[in-house]
Amino acid sequence: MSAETILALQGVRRVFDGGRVVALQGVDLAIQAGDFVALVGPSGCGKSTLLHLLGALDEPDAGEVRFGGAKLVGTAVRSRCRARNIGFVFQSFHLLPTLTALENVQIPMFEMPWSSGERQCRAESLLREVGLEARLHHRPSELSGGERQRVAAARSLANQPQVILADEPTGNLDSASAARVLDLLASFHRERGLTLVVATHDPDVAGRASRRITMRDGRILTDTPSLP
Amino acid sequence: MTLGLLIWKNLWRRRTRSLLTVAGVAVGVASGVAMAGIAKGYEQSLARVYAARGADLIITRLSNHKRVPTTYFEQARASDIAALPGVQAVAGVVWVMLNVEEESIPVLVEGWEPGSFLWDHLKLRAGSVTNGPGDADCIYLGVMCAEMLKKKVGDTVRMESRALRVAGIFESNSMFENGSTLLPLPLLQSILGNEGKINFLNVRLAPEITAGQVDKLRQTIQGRFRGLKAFQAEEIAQNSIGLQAAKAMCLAATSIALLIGALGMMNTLLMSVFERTSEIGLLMAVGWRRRRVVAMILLESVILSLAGAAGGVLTGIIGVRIMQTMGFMQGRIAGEFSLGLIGTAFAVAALLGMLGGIYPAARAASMSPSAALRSE
Repeated sequence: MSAETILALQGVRRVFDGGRVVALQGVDLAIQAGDFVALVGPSGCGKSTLLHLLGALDEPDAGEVRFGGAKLVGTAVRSRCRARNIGFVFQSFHLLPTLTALENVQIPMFEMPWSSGERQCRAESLLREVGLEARLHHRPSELSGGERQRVAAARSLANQPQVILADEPTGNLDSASAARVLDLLASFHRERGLTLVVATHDPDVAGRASRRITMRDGRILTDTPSLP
Repeated sequence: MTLGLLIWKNLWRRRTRSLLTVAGVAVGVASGVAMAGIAKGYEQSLARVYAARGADLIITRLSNHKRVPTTYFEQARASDIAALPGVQAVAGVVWVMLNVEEESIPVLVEGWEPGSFLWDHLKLRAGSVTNGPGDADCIYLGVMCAEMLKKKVGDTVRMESRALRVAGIFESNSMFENGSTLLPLPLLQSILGNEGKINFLNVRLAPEITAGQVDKLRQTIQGRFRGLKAFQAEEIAQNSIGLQAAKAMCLAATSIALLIGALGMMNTLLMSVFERTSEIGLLMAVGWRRRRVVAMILLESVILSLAGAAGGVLTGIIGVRIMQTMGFMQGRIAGEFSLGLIGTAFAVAALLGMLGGIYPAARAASMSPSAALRSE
């Protein structure tokens, strides 16, 4: 493992349904800080499972997951790691429907030692950064798909993470909105130096990544730098 | 944004269900508050009866073991007890429930020994006390009883086929007395065919008597007159079989109502947790610790309970006040709602909320964030 490795999987196996469904088998992977990685492959190949394990949302049945060299073992350790180091963007946005955009962005901040005023101020600034300063007090049902995903992108930055994990972030968007969200994520990577891992079917997304990992049947098939 | 605002929005989102849950808890709390308040009112009213009369000890005959003060004893015991040291005065009493006027429901009828100290506290609103030894067939009505029977001074009241003249209408600070009727003791004994018998003896003690002497006097009475027991005024209220039965019924009915409320609460929160599986998954995905998720669900539960408690306390108090004005209950119930009772209602409701919320909260906290997110 190199000194710059921020996320690492070693011999990771993950099964579901009492072992009848093998989602990942013996996966080894190291992601360096500042990488922009695209995980590609057909549906059911294990991209999302891999992303959930990288994001400490799940635990492997065998093998180990490390963040910054530290093993992610135990609920509390994984929870703390997610709160402080990892931001998520999901295909279906996962915004809380009763909360406004401003309130949704503040949700992760409850785990940080910030006052209510600081949380609000920071959320406003993030929403401004993603171009939603006019939508602060709108609820998800009052926003377009692209706007919702931009709220989710702002939320992923709430606690100043080192890594953003995005699971099909453009999967539910029209092409114009998808391009805007992709630009946004790419800008997080470029301007903030964040590590970005994106599970996607979208060739445009994969084309913007600096590294492409292709998966099939729960294994990594190829792991190559993207063509410039 | 605060956690409180998030909780409020969670509850308000399914407002009909939240309000129905609050209503379920409120019904339980209201029934408990109303019944406990009525039981307390009964106890205090009973205690006030003796306080107003200036009776320090009440002597009655208890059935063995059951402690039910129903049996009569010889009125002649009064003079024996009056002769004991420390006793200033005694007054024989008959206390019975009877139909006054044929169509009326039974009312409390008391017979007081003519010329005894009991008559001194009687405040007449109309008429006058004329119960001399030769004054037969007169009855005094408590103010509520007079209203219920629609009688005034000079009217005739029938009791056990005997026509009695209303000689006065009295007012007392005790609900019992206001709803009761009063006769000279010999007259009531004659109506009941129970001459020379009483079922209570009210004793006024000498002002200088000490607590120790009172205890000794009680022991003397109980030792010398087999079967008789001497209570202090407040004890007879607390030992009232009616009060104990009322308290037991109150506890049983309230427990059932609260249990139903708790189950309703658990059901509401469980449904809420099921419906919000992916949202709870999101909260954990962004790093919320399990204990914060547990706190959120438990607080939702406690807030619903406390809202139910507030509604229940108000409904209980207002309900009893309304019942007090209704014809058939007028003068028969009096609610006493202390801060202690209200505080207890809120504490029980909060506990109920915690209990009802534990399982849904534990269930929410035990979810894997990955599985919860996939559930959408």
